[in-house]
Amino acid sequence: MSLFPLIENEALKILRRRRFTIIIGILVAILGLVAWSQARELARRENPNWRVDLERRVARYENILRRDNVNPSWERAVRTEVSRLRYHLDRDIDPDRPTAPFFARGFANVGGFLLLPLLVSVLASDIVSAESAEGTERLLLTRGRRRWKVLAAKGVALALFVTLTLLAGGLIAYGASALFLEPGGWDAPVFTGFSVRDGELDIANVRELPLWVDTVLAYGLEWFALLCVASIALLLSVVFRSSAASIGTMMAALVTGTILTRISPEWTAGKYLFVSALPLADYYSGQAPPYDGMTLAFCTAVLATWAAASLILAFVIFTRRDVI
Amino acid sequence: MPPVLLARNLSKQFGKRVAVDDVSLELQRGEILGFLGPNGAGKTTTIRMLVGLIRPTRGSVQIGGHDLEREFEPAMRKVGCIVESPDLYRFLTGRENLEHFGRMLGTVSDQEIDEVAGIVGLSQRLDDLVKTYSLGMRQRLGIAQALLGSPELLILDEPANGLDPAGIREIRQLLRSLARERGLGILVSSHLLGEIEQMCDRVTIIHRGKTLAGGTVAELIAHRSRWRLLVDLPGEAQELLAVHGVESVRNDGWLEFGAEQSSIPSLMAALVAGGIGLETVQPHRQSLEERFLDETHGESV
Repeated sequence: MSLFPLIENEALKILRRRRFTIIIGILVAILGLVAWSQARELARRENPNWRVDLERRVARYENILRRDNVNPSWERAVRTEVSRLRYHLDRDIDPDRPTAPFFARGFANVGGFLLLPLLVSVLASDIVSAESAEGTERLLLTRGRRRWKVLAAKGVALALFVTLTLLAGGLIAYGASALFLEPGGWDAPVFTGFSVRDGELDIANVRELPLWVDTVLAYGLEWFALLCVASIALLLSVVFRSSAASIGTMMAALVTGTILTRISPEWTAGKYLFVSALPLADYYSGQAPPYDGMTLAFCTAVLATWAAASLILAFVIFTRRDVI
Repeated sequence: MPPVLLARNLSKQFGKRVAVDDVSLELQRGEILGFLGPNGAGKTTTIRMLVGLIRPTRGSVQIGGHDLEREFEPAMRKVGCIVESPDLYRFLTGRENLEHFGRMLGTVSDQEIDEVAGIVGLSQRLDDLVKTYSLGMRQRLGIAQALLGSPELLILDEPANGLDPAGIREIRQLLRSLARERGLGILVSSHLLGEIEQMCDRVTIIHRGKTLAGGTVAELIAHRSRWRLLVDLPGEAQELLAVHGVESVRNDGWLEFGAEQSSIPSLMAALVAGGIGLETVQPHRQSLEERFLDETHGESV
């Protein structure tokens, strides 16, 4: 028999517990406030002569390019900068004034650091523990469905709402910033792939992408990271019988893990913590990870391992334990 | 046809503590079995093993001929149960709760939901949130939930909890009619001995994890009839009875003893012949409660 009716049940319970409503409320409040304060800040230092300044900068760069003895890697960097500035002149958009699309893109990095993982653990932490705390687990497990099916339905419903949380975050970030900032500009060029090698900026792998492609990539990585957080939170929710204990443990892990990776860079085993690998979108945009050797592929593998181990453990415990 | 419930030699050990020791139960269709025992006797642990919430250390459970371990889904489709309290989702309405559990069974129509709500008398309040329900209404919603999917076996843990006397009578009538008219097998645990006595066909008494006694209610009560005597010389009467192999005790002026009904005329004749003035002799019908206290050596329920 299909899992669909069970997934429908779990989705109904998430909605009726108001967990998702609370998350949307938090996102609207936080993103509205940030977008509004940023718009105020920009209004204060608005430069009415930005076109003239920008044209001067472009002319200066083009002079550099006309010389013969330009270092080839330098030349590439300058050309990318010129094409970026030209884009802004053509569209009449001040490059120092972020557009709403840039704000929405930035949310994948800023939110992915702590806010989104915390919201996901709010969603995930009581998905099983609330049933044991409220005494409904006994009925849920005696209505003719094997336990692994019950847990699988909870997992699928959770993945669905994690996806919706991230999408809602992106849409609210765009919507809130579009009220105050320039709403267009999804095709603005962005340059990714900067990296530091031997203390020097390495631009060999820099690629130019339209902003919307860059945004899709960053949100895709963040989606993967959040699914891994949700898997770990699901395990905690199975283990703890109270929702508060599982939410608390998840938050403590996120916060102490983050602090640990910042204050002790010589403790290299820290690169195997899921928290160090979590800001995938940051590492993708060029921010240096806290430990050497943490490539994007390495971080993805670390997260996938944590998620798989958590899911296996959650299923083993849930299907075998005595419900007292 | 196999019995609707057949539990063989169930045992459960938590660490070193033996919670349930070699309990066997058998329940036929159309029959109500009372499951009686003081708190901590292992009633709830046994019931949880019957519905797959706890894995037995030893023993097996069959429901309608399906082994619970190997054929969990077909076995559990035949069962409706309330284990301990009828906790339902408080943030959903009564109807949403029934729809939720109906979806798990897969075959429940809107019509059936209205029907089970009608059976327990909840049709009026079905679209209100469960958190606004009284304890009695929650108990009835729990029973409605257990009736979804036309089960062959009902397992109800303390179904009379939280109900007023009228509600208890309603539930009793409902369970009797479900057993008589629909042929459901019903297992009811309760600490209300009077309830078990009035409602059940058979009773199993469990104490410290072991089955102490079992049988029909009439058998359990009539097992050894007790009699009360009022005589002028109780001390001598006691001695005379002892000569005939009957132990008696003095209680509040009465002389009490246990004996088969058939032996009473000859015993009385012997007393009169011994010069005892006989004022009253009466059967002292033991209630199930006294029988129960006898069996559990006076430990409170």
